[in-house]
Amino acid sequence: MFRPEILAPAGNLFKLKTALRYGADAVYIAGRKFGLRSAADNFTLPEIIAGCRFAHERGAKVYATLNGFLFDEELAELPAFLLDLERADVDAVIVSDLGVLETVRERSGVPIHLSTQASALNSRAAGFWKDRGVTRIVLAREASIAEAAAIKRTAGVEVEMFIHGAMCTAFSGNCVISNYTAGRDSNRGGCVQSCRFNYTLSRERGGETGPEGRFLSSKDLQAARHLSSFIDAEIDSLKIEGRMKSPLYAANTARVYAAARDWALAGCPEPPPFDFERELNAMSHRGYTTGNLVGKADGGSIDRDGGEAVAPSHEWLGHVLEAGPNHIAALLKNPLHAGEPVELITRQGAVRLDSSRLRDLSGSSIDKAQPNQVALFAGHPLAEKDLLLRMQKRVETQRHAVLAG
Amino acid sequence: MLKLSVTPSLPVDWGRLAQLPNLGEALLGHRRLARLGPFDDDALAAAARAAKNRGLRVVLVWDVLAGDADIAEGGALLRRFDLALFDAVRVQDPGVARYVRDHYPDWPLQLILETGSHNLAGVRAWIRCLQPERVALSNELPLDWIRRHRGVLEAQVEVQALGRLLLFYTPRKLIGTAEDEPAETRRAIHRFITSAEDRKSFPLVENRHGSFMFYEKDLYLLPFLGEIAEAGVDFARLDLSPYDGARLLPPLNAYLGGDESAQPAVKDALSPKLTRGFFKSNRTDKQFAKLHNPRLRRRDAPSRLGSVLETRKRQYLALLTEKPFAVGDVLALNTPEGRDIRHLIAWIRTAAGERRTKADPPGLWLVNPAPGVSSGTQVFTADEQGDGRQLGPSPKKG
Repeated sequence: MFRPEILAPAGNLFKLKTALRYGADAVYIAGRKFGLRSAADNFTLPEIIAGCRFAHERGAKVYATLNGFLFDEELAELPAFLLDLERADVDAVIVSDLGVLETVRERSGVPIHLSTQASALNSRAAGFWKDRGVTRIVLAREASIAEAAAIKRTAGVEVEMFIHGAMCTAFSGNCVISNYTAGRDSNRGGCVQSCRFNYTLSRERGGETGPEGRFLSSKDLQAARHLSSFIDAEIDSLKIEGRMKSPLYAANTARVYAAARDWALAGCPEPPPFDFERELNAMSHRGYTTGNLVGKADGGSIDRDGGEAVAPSHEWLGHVLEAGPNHIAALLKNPLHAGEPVELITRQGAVRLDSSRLRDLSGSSIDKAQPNQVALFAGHPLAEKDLLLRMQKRVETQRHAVLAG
Repeated sequence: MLKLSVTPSLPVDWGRLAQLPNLGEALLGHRRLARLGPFDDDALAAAARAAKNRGLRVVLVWDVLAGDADIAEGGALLRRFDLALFDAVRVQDPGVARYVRDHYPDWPLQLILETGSHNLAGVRAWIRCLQPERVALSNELPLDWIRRHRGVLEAQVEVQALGRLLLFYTPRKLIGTAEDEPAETRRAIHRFITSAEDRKSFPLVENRHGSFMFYEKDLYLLPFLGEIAEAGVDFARLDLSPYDGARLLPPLNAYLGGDESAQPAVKDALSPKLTRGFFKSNRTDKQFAKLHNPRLRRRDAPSRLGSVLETRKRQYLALLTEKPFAVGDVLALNTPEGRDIRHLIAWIRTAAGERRTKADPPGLWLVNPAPGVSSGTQVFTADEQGDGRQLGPSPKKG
């Protein structure tokens, strides 16, 4: 049966390793230039080399984004970076600018994927890009699964679709709000996300009466229920947005979608291995929508009130630095009181860790560990280096305590 | 000579419009094919005939981004038209361009390179691939770029000189959503959205194709038409569609005819705020660098050994290492504050408290403390430094 690739975001080397450990088949990364997320950590060349080695040892792939729309002087710097990417052995580059594409074809043999920034929506456009040497089209997020299947069939090119994460409301690559309002190029990494602002809608310029809300802000995409449709449509790659997001996000989304894909491939036997949507709700997110995947995005796809549909139940606590028979040393990113519920996230699920006897590196018992502190927990047989820890959000815990009381 | 390509105001006053100096063509949009097209079949045909009767070239606008079904629908629509009325077709989507090339190979094509084509290699490749008679260049390209490269662009070149600046195009119905209107409304709705952050007020239009947001200031390059012509631009595009033609056309005719005193009346008929956009320069081309601490050496230096995760005064440094080291080694510590400290490793311990003489494999290791070292300090092998400095902290800088 057709098995789509789960493609996860990797904002840095740790997230790359995390996404692959938790089930992604491929990751997409960016170097220090030419991508769309200038505020992400992004990768140095040695990190790209290390990331490719780590991925390839596990049979996974690494795609490098070169999807900014470049001016001439930036394009002039590209050939040297292409040589670096070839040396690093990346599996493909993702481009949106025809000038970049031509440069890649002239200066390297790296396979080329077309970015969603190019807004490819139809078979003829896909054929156009295929004739330019593109082997895979990341379709515009305005395409449905059925349309994607038809494009693949007609154009004879691999197709990739977004299945999860934040979305532009505008056709990607066709928004220049930041360019004009903030002097930063949204198509070269400078997007200030003006679409997330609050606006008043009025009949007159500057009107102060009228509905208020985040009228330009899209809800987040979530397609956990539709993996069977992607498989039936033979969509080659299922992409998760979010190189700027936390390692917990990288781990959780990769784990959930890999499990949901495998469950669908097995014919959806009951019960599923775990509640996919509950796990996706465990992370911070806007309200979810299926966007255009199964029908055209309607008013319900707009995050008008700017709230979270379901309050996230968990937050990232840290990751395991070392796992011994009697101890786990973890670097914490959030504060933790001894005894608070902590979970170790494995591919198979989350397991509870004993945090009642919390110690610091001197071996002394502590009541509270601070962010960026290494804390020692009692050992656990499933603990491994680099697995992530999460904790229930404190508000939830308190609310539950009140309810229980 | 610079000619004008005009999208008319409605209702179209062909008599006044045709008097515009150097008017070359009219851009006419059917509501099913053009993002902001106002015409149905009959009105489009009537407008095209009226334009041709006044000696104008007529361009059919098919500038929506389209799915396969939209292209098929557009193709069916074209078959109903008298295509002899249209001298060229204007497209943005390469799939639509291919459809036109496949079905109407002799119909001149005008290609919109609205955004995303800001380098010579890209613009030339579009021209080579689709053979348009003209490219409508991005508003983000300053005139100087055109001046430098015009000679090697093998197509007519057009820039926008007047009209609203499109910021944002989505197929979603944003106004209907906000006002709880039925989503499938067929008429165009015009509103403004005003940012709560800075009170900027942007025109927003919704129609069957989705929603279109425009910049609060309209593009106004009429005083620079001479400069635009000298740069080698063939057509300046005036989008008059958002404005009241009865107010705008008389002073516009006068101003373009050389009457400078008509300029205030032209501006009065436009939006209250006007801009030159990126006509003179585009400074958004500087990728904004993340504010990495410049005092920390690059994390890909070959001598890098790891980093300090945690410090405990007079007790330990916790290191996360990527390479082995041993008791007796001297490590170079580069603190976030910019201090360089050479540190002799006197003891090594595991997180479980066991003493070791060598830290191998890479991972979490505790070593003897060093004053002045904080979390985030980068650790290097000192023997590759070769700077002959003494052990211990360097004097504080500044």
